[in-house]
Amino acid sequence: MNTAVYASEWFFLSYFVLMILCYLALDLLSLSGLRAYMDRQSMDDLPMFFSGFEPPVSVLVPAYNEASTIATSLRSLLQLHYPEYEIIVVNDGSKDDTLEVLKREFDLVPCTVAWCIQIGSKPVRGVYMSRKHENLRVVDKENGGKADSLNAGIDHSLYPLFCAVDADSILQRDSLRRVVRPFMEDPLCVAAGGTVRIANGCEVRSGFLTRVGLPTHMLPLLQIVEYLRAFLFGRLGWDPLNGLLIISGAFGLFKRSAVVAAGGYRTDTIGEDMEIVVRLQRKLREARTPFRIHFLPDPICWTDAPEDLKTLANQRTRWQRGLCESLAFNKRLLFSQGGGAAGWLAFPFMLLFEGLGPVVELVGLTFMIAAGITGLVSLKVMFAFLFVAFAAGLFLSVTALLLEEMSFHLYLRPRHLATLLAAALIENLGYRQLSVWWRIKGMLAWAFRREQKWVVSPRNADWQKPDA
Amino acid sequence: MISSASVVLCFLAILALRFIYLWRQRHLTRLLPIWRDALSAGTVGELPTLTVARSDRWHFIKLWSQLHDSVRGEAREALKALARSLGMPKWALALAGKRRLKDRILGLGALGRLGEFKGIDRLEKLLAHPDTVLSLTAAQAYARLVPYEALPAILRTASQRDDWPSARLMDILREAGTEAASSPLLVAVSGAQDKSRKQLVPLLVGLKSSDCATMVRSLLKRENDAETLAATLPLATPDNLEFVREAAKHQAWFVRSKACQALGRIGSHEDLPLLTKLLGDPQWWVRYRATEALLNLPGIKTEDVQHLAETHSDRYARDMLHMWLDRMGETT
Repeated sequence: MNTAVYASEWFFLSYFVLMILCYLALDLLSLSGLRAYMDRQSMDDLPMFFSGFEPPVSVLVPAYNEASTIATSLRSLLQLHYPEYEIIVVNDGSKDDTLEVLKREFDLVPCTVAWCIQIGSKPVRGVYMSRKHENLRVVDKENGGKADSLNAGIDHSLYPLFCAVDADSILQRDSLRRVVRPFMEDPLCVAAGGTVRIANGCEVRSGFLTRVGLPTHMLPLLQIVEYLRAFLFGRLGWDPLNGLLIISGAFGLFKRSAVVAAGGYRTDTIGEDMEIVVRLQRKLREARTPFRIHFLPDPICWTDAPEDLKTLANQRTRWQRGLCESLAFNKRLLFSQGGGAAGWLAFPFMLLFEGLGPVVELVGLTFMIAAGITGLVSLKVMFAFLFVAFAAGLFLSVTALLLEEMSFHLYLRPRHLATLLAAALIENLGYRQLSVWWRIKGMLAWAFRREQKWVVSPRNADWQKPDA
Repeated sequence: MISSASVVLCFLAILALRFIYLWRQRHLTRLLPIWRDALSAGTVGELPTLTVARSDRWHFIKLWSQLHDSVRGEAREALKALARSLGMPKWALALAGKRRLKDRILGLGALGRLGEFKGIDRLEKLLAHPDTVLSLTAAQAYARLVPYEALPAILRTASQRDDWPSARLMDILREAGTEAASSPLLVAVSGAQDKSRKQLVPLLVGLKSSDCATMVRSLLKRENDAETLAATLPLATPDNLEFVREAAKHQAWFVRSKACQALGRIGSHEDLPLLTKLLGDPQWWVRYRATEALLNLPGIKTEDVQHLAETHSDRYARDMLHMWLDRMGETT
């Protein structure tokens, strides 16, 4: 019995130490990457002119029951500062009057389409063009989910790059210009993603963010720290290794031909945004095609975070399920020949710490507490373990804040900083454990193949309302 | 113990960084209006007295660079004179020699803007620097200082490295002017390998040089690389129509597509049968561009296209024609 307890103790301890070391390594990579990135962008605010060499971009906006917000979102997209782009809204069989709103607000008329089906999707009921904005088209199709809508959007897009955008996201006016840059600077670039930030508490006017603030609700506040951690070192760290396995579905730019060649978005997964990136990594590496997937740390997309536990639980369950599906569908990438950093580092990291992490964390904590209470380990050991777990979590959150402080300084007021530091502390006392539980539910949902749906979360975003 | 210490260290680092940031912001908020007033006066030829502390020089040079890039002509020259009177070339030179990338970028950029730098050979060496931004900043500074000397070296380097975006190269060439850029660009294109030639040819298009007619004719006539040929087609003039028509039958679809676009620009009514045939091309993009070209052909009326849309034997061609007719109907 004692040997088993001893072995378990060592297993959990080793796991936590390994996890912390890996995150620390990512942290260090992000630190140097961020500093170099900020240096390179230091002249960005000098007057800039478009050279005429910017590749045209198709912005794809899948919409399902977005009647109350779609018009405002599109108006802001129509004001993006970029020389040539088209917007393709894909109405995925909405049950509300999304299509009617679009028709009314943008003066849509049906148009004939010469089909260029390269991926395929659920049947398209009609294609409309706007008489007000010649770069706006709407594809009305039968309900098939977000991935299916994106595939329909790709099939209807004209340009070599497409940008997948969530209908409830807020982009900065120069977002496209920024995210296109890796494609202009690196001919091998097939995809690029930017940082997503939380818009709750910020001031938004005419679809653009005008003042950065912090939410008054606790949940979105805790998510701000989480997002900083996920983006500023979770993704930035993988960029120099070309090991990025996820680009947020809220804002990502892709080379159309690469996605078409990979077969488009999978419609049988709930995490289509991650799956497509993992598949691109796998297929391009299998084909020995040189490529790069880039991450930009600039905050270029703002999104609405859930403010109630139920919606948040739902979101995290879906994310975890998406992660499991993406890894499972592309398991051939793991330790594959030619798998590079993606197959040998990023994939095992995702599997071990993001995929299985919640289980080990829950079992580890439960085991140590149970062992402490029943006297299998001393209370001193139990508390030491819990303290290390807490301190490690806190350390990772605080380093994310440190990266933010070294770079963008978006949260300018001293009060903001104090609130975020407090949130980093509180996050590890209950919220993190709750998140572990939701992620385990996501794993179970994946393991037992529960039915999946495109869930429309309740909107908190007051800015999106037409009268705001 | 280590974890707690690390957390505490991070906390302290964050607080220290914030403190420094706020102090610097407050300091700059006080200084920037003074600098702006002085620089504005500088644009109209005044030479106001201004003292810039060593630690503020980076920010001053950046502000000066911003203003320099947003004015033209005499105002720009006056700004340069003001900078010289303040001793800015020395500050910029010192920055250019520092280790940190952002200092070097700003320093080199300012030296180029100021138009004075004795270490030209240092700039030429920097063209080969592995950092894209730094090497391009050096290229821009070099071209600003001695365009006629710099451009051949810059274009030679450009044909050897694929990390220089065409957009930035175009900026450098445009700033140097067509007269200075045309000849070295033509030399670079003619001497380049296939891979780099296809990157350089679009620069000819962007430069709108009239000196490239012979080069374009030769490329259209003899070019074997499909991508270079496709990149050359936007430069085709009516004198090259025979080659464009030939390119419209090329096996690579993107060449056919570019040829269609060129025919829409320089083609004649004689090209109607060729474009009508291309309406049934297996590639969607060729059909799309062929329709676009057809609608631009001289002497073609909407009724002719409508007739074609009803009678064309190929279903895909009919679809494409209808789509374009719809678009025309809505946009006119």
